[in-house]
Amino acid sequence: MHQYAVEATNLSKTYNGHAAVDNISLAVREAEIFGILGPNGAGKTTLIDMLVGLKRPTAGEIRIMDLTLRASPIEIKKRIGHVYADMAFFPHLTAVQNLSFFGRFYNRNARQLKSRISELLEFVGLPAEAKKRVGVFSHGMKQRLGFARALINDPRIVFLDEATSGIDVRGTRAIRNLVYDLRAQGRAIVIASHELAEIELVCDRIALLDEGKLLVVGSPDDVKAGAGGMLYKYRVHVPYAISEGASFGAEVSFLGDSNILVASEDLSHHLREQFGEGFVDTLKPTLEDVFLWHVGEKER
Amino acid sequence: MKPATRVFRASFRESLCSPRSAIIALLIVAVTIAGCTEMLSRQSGHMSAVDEQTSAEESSRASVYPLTPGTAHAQIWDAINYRYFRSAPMFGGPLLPMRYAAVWMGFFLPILALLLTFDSVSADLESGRLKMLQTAPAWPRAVLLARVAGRIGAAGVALALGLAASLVVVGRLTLFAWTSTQLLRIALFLLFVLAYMLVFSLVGVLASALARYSARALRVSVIIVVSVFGIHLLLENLASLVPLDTPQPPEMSSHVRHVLTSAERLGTRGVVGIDDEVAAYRDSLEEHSEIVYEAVRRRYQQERWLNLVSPSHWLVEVSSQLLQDEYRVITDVFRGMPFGYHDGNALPTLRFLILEIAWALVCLTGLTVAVSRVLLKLEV
Repeated sequence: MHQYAVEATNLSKTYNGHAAVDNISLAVREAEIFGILGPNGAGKTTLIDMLVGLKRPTAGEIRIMDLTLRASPIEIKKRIGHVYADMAFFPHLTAVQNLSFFGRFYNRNARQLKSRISELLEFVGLPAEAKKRVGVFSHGMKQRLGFARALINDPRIVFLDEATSGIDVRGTRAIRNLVYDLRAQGRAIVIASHELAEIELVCDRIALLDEGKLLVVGSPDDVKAGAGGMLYKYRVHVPYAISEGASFGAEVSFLGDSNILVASEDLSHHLREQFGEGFVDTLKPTLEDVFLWHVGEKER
Repeated sequence: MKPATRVFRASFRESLCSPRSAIIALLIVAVTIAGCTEMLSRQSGHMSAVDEQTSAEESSRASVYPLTPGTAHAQIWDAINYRYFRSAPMFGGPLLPMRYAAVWMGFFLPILALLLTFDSVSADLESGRLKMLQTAPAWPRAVLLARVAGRIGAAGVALALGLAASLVVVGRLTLFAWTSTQLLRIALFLLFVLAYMLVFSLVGVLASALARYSARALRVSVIIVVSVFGIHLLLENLASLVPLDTPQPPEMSSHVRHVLTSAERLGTRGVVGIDDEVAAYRDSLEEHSEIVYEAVRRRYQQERWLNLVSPSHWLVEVSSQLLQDEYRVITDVFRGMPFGYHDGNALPTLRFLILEIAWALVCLTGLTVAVSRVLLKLEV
């Protein structure tokens, strides 16, 4: 048993002086589903690409199952699987041919490979498409085949980078079930996404990233509990009673309409005094509230 | 088998089976046959000219001396043709037509090579295929290099297959049976064609890797092709744009004109005795043609030196040397004008050949280093 499946220490990646990932440290345990959340351009993909050895960090160290990526990149690649947004297979080859092309990289003999491929196609729900050319596959089918490719080497850690983007509800659910199955098998899963509901539903712990920086890490409940008791949410039942210009003596953000607000300090007393006891509800902040509170509502 | 080798094989097979490779092979066949047909028609033209000249000389009515005071150029060409028909061989060997194919290839291969490789890296980057391949347990750089090498290798094989097919067709056209020496020469020629294509393939890969997007890489490739052709055409024509430094041909006196015109009319020119004045005129014309010849030869050499820096001339030059076969090659001095082989031209041949090969090697080495450096730094 390893202490951590994935361990990143002071990881940075700089492009032309701009830090895409800025001094991030995190650790993922075995049999854990770990989510990396962040808006577009937050550095999620760069972080995942560094963790799987596709990009070289400008600074910092990565350890995968006690091996350092710098010293043993090929050995590490044998132990991990990677699924990303647009899996690009050879379109003129069938699903089986594509999988066997990648499967041969891992020194499996033909019989082992054949049995592993049919097992995986069953696992991802594509046994009927085994002999179809990948060029005719839908996006969802390609993503599921991507899962099969990522698992061909029986990895202990699977990295999913926006793996469900562009997939319909049924496909998303199928992939979610695959992720649960993988965890049940004791594998660590790292998911990078901006789909809050999915992450909240699936992950044991999440890390929130923005502009390359790690803002908060914890279980979804911990993070929702106001990132350690730092976020409060209220609804005021007096139409247009408060406005963005109002002063509360604390940092406040309005959500949706101007009667729902989140604040960095407990304002319950202040609001009840102002609007009356029955007109103010204290709400539980959602992950979206926490997310927007941290990253702001500005579109990227 | 190592993952990089597998990637190379897969990329090679994938590229070779693509429609692009088939198009390349067909284009090469077309270009080679077009070049050979051009040469065969030229040969046939020369043969007719020789027949005409020979029969004219036999009947002693050859228009050897310019009777009409035309431009200096017209007289120069008359003089050159006169020498040409007497000194130049009329037939090339069976390989000679390939030399003309090489001239055509000098223009077509850069286009083909760039068309094949302009998206060799960018397409994989855009589609995410490169990322997929780099998840294999191998050094990402090795995978990338193997991928590019596989695509270039497939282009080379498509080219070689096209050339082989066209040689069969040319063999049928000319009814020549290849000897082992000729086959060796063809093999060497093929090697140089592949090297030439490799130069432009590497340029295409470089453009693709630096541009990162296929649309941008295509624009860059078009600019490269236009520049290469521009430089090639400019250098090829630069020498002939400079006025030829030759004196005017000697003036023909009314007496000489009268004698020669009468002789022409009677069909006795060259047979009847001529007086001293006409003989002196004939000698001065011979002398003049010698000066013209030297001037033309000098310009020809200057042109060769200039062409050394042309990106596509070395293929033509090296091919010319390789495809001379047992016959002497007919060389163009000015565009479209035949010029006789002269021993004076043969002297710097080896030196030129070495320089051309050295230039090609410098290009190949420089580009290989540049491409490797760019690819090694490339991240998905």
